[in-house]
This record gives sequence, C-alpha cells and structure tokens, in this order.
Amino acid sequence: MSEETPSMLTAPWKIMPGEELRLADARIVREANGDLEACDRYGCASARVPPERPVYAVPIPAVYRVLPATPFIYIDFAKRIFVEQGEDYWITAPFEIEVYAGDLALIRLSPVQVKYTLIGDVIEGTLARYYRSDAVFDFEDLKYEDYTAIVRFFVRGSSVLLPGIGFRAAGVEFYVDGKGRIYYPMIEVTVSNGNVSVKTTNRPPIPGLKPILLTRYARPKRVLAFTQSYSQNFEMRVDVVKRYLPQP
Amino acid sequence: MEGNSTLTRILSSVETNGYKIMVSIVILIAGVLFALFIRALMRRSLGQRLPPHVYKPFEAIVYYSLVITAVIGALYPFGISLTSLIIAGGFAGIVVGLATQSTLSNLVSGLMLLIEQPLRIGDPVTVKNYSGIVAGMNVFSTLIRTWEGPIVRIPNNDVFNTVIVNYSRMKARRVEFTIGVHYDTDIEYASKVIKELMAEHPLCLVNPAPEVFVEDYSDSAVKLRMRCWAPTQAWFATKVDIQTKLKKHLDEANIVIPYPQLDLHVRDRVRVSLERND
Repeated sequence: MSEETPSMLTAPWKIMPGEELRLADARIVREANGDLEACDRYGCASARVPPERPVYAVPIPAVYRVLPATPFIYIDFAKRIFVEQGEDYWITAPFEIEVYAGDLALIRLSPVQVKYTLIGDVIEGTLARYYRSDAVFDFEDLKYEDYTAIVRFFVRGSSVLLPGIGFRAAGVEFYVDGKGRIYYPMIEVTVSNGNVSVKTTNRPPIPGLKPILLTRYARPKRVLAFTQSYSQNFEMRVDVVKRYLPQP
Repeated sequence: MEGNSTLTRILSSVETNGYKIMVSIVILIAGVLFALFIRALMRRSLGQRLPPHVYKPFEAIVYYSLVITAVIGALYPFGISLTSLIIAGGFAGIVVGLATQSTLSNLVSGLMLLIEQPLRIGDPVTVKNYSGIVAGMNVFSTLIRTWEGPIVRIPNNDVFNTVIVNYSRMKARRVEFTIGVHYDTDIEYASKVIKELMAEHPLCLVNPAPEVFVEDYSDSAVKLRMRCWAPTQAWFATKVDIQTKLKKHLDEANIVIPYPQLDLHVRDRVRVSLERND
C-alpha cells in the first residue's frame, strides 16, 4: 500500500485502489479489494467501492463536522493584532474533507480537533466553529500545515485591536495554488465604532489562484440545513481603544 | 295524504328554485376547486421557501377565506347578501358565541399565538409540563410531539395562558451536573481532570468557558459541580456523552468516587457476649 502526503498532490485528492491518504487525524484507506474506510477522531465510515469507480477527497469548509451547527468559523488570534485601514493579514483556518465514491458523498472528516465558541451573549450572539491561529503581516511568516487552509483578510475603517475574526464559511469555494495549498476566498473586515463586520467575498486571496470546482463532484444543492437563520456577514463588537493624544 | 303534500311542496320548490340551486352548487364547487388550486399553487411556490411557522398559518388563512367566500357566493342566488348575513350573523353570533365560548377562546388565543410567536413548528419546548418538539400549530390547538413519542394536543387557550419554555431561542445551553469525589482527593487535580474532559469534548464551547467548582462538602464526598455550554441542538447528546465518559476519565486519573459511608463512634464501652452453639 503506498502512502502519499497531500502536499505532493493538488486538492482534490484522487485515491486509487491500494492507496492511503492521511491528513492529521483524517485517514482514508482504499484497499485493492475494494474496501474503503474513512476515519477521523470522531468516527469512521466504510464502504465497498468497485476499483474502476473514482474515489476523491475534496476539501470543504470546516462547518459540518461534528455538527452542522453554524455557517461561521471564528479564528482566535494567538496574540491580539493592531489593524489599520488598508492593511491585510494572513491566518490559517481549518478545512474538512468530503470523501466521494464516484458522485456519492460517503463522509465528511475533520483533520483537526473540532471546537465551537459563542461570540456575544447566549440569545443574540453567534455560534461559530473555533480555531486558534497566529495572524501575520507577511505570507512568508505564516506557519502553514497540510491540514489547514490559508485565509487572507483585508481591513477597512478605523483602527482597532482585534482579538480574532469570524467569517461565513458555509458554501464558499476554495482556491488552490501550484504547491497544493488551499485558500479560503478573500475576507473583508470593516471596523466602525467598535463594530466589526466581516464579509466573505468570492474573490481569490491571490490573483490568479485556481478555484476548486466543487460542482464537478456533484455536490448536493442544499449541503446543509442550519436550524437557525444566519446573516451573510459575521458581526461582532470589540473594545474601542483610547488613542494617546500628545499634549500640545 | 299529508306526506304526499309535503313531497309535492318540496318538488314544486325544487322546480321553482332548481335553477338557483344549480347555480349555487356550481358556485360552491368552483369556489372550493379554486381554493384547492390556490393552495396547491402556494404549496409549490411558497411552501418550500417560507419557514413552516410562517407558511402554515398563511396557507390556512388564504384557503379558508376562499372557501368562506365561495359559501357566501353560493347563497347569493337565493337573495342572501353579505349585509343580511352580517345582520343575521350578529344575532346568531351572540347565541353561538355563548355556546362555543371555549372554542372561540381557543381561536382568539391561537391568533394571538400566531402574532406573538412564543413557539414555532420545530421548536423544542416545555408547555404545561409537556416537553417535546412543536409538531403543529393551528387556530384551535397546538400539537407537541413529546420526547417519548406521543403527540399531545393542547388547546391554544391553555398554551396562551401558561408558562412556555422555548429552548430554541438561545444559541447555547448549559450542561451541568454534580459529581462526588473522595475527601482524600486533591480538589485542584480533580477539577483539572474534569476540565480537561470538557475541553477535549467537541461540543463543549470554548466560550463561555467550562467551569468546575466545589458545590458542597457532603457526608461522604466533596461535591464538584461541572458546567459547560453546548450548542442548543446538541445539548442532550453532550450531556449524555460527558456523563458517560466522566467515570472512565476519573478512573484513569485514579480519582475515587466514594460510596456513601457512615463512621460510627461508640462513646461508652459496651459488653458484648457471644455464645457458641457447638
């Protein structure tokens, strides 16, 4: 059985009979006899797939495993960052893998531990998938792993100390570069009087990146039905920091 | 023969009003068919787009309005107009109203519930000691499918005048329970072990953060209270899962959950005599 690291290939990953794909906690094993097993730390699914039938592992936004509870991902910054109008930053965010046998989805796997958080209060707040990442100014400084996707966000409005950002991830299309790195679309953060509004665009974070056309894999039209309705933008409040005014 | 004369009178009445009766029946059938057509059209166009709690009352209002219009239209060939119906309805209303006071009360409460919307179809709720999912709401009653399965029909008047607990309106719900640990246990260590369990659990939220604290120094154990918040829809699953894993987790950390015990101190010496049977 050959084992290939995902970084050697460009997502989505095709898994041939007798191959295995490992991505942190997620593991997909396709035996030569047709047995297919896909597991993460929260469970497994198995099936028998004819050898001539293609098996794909497709990266999808990390909002389905273990529960499709929210369309949002919240990235908690390891250190709060001072953001200013016109600047852009790089962070990492989780993604999940949807395993397809032909055009049928078998299971969704999470390569990393799943946690959720609540931003705001219990009634009016927003539930979001939680992940912790460093926010950096330069792409070269980003600590990237094979099992995480890359997010670039652009800031508009007033300066503020940001503890983290949330963004709508459900239904977005990923981009991939020549090295197999996976990117979320460009995120726009607008800050005004302590209100932070985050919009997920449909533009690539780096011009020229190739989108991963998920429609190729016959994704169902209604991928998930959230029990509550959510807005398109992620909204949150942050403390307005007093500015130092030099004495005349 | 009196029977024959009655029959003759009915037949002559049908002969005289036959045309009117035919027209009435046609209006009624056409009206009901039109109402059914509109309902089918609404189901196809709006039924999938609107949430059930908005769509179902809307559909009922439109459908029954059209049926009532058809009935009023069917009476028109007999010279019964809407005005005379309203006047007649005024007197009849008092009589019928007194007779059907509770039904009308349910109807009004149903309309008030539809306006206020303290519960919606699909919401997990507790109403009048019945807990479950709201399976349906109509103008007279509310149906609750209890957690055990049976569907309970509660008159709207009772729903409107009682305390309703709706669990779907919050984004997260607190999971909490108490566990006793042995008096010899290092409390800080036990708290750390329990917190680790909750931090590892995917459905225990990061914020609000999980908590563990001493709730009570009871007779046999130090009672620790543990709390974490979970997404509302996963509250029960989280509670069951943590409760199941907790014992194993504490066992692995060598933390003892004590049995109830009683230390008996005898103050005065007591002479006990034993007899041997052999």
